[in-house]
Amino acid sequence: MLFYFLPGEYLDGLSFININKICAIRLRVNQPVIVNGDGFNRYLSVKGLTKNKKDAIICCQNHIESIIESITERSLYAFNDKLKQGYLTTRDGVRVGIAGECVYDGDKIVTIKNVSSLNVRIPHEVNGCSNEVYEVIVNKINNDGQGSLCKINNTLLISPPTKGKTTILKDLANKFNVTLDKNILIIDERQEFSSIYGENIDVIKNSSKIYSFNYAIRSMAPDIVITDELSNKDDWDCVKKASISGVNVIASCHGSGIDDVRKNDLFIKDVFDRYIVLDNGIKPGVIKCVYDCDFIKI
Amino acid sequence: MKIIFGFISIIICTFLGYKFSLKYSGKKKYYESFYNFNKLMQTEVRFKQATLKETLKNINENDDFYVILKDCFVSNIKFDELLKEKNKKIKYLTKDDVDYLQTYVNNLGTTDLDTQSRFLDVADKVLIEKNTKANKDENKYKTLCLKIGFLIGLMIFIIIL
Repeated sequence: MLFYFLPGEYLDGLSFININKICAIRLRVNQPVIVNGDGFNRYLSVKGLTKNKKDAIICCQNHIESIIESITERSLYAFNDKLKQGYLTTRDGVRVGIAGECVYDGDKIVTIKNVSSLNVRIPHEVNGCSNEVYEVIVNKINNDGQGSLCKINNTLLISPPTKGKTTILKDLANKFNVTLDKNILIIDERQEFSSIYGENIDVIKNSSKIYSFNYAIRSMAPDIVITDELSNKDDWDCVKKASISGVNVIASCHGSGIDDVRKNDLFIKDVFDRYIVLDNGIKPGVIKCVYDCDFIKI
Repeated sequence: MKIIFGFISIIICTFLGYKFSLKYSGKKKYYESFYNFNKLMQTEVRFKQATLKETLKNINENDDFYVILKDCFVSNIKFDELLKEKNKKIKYLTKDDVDYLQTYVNNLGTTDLDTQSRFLDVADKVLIEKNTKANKDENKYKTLCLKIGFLIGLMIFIIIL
């Protein structure tokens, strides 16, 4: 059960909803539970979605504590690294964002206590959502049916949060597995790729990008590395290192357009051959525009 | 006939003494398991970071202490509810023992890595003391109970004769 960690009344409400149509469930202490869907926000009641605030389930501190207890299987220490980064991932790959009081030891964050908000991100698998993106990434040199003669473009997917980057990367991994005769390494920092496996796929879970790029690339010898959310200098440095060592990298990062990424201090040029800006619409995998390595629109 | 009754009373009294001494060996075994589990948790928390559920599932011991923990963390039974039924069975635990176990269970897994490590370190020291006391008590009272049982039986034997 995907939402085993939610209290019973939430599950009752969710049983009336098509899960594929919702993106996130937002819980804030003493506030009504809100469901973010494809272009709508509604309150969650025990009988499904409602516009009426009075019918909504009110999230209380006990709900949040029981959810955290359930996800961590009463072993908070085992989830400490993730907790420090502000999220937990369930055993089925559901990512739950956390907001609360940060506890510091010197300048290092030790944990988050008195959690007051949770953002339950609903993972989706949309078969074929990466078709358009795939065509940009894979340039077939000789269509011999074997899929071996093709050029893979190092590609960066760009879109704001919750616009389906991870969903596309997941579908892309499956598609690479089936169509290309190449070793694929997924660097899954946040355990969001837990449903992805295949004969050509290796997955490193719970590891920082710096570790995975430095060590796993050497030991697993991948042809393509897929990773989510480049967010700090280390991530960009790793990707650069990988790309100059002849490994193809498919990654994603937050931004609403190419300028957001270019203006970012962390940005390193000449790492990616293609920049795909995704459309902000409801459907994942729709391309808004594609840029080449010199930021010229293709 | 009197001799037979006398011998029977010695056997019965010695057996009762043995039964009475079991609470000391039970408590010794309980604190041994408690101490060993705490040691295991110190390692798990620092290095392996397996969840309590995973850790307990890998333990094949089934004595009283582990049964309580497995009920709490694998079967998800609340400690208070558990105590009501288990308290009848674990008679060798004093109120202090039960209170300490409750504090331990309530703190287990509920804090971050550093706090949990520190908690287990403190528990280690407490459990060394409790374990040593349980060992001493067992050594001291187990044979004492047997001897007293035997002597009472012998007294009955002499009175009968």
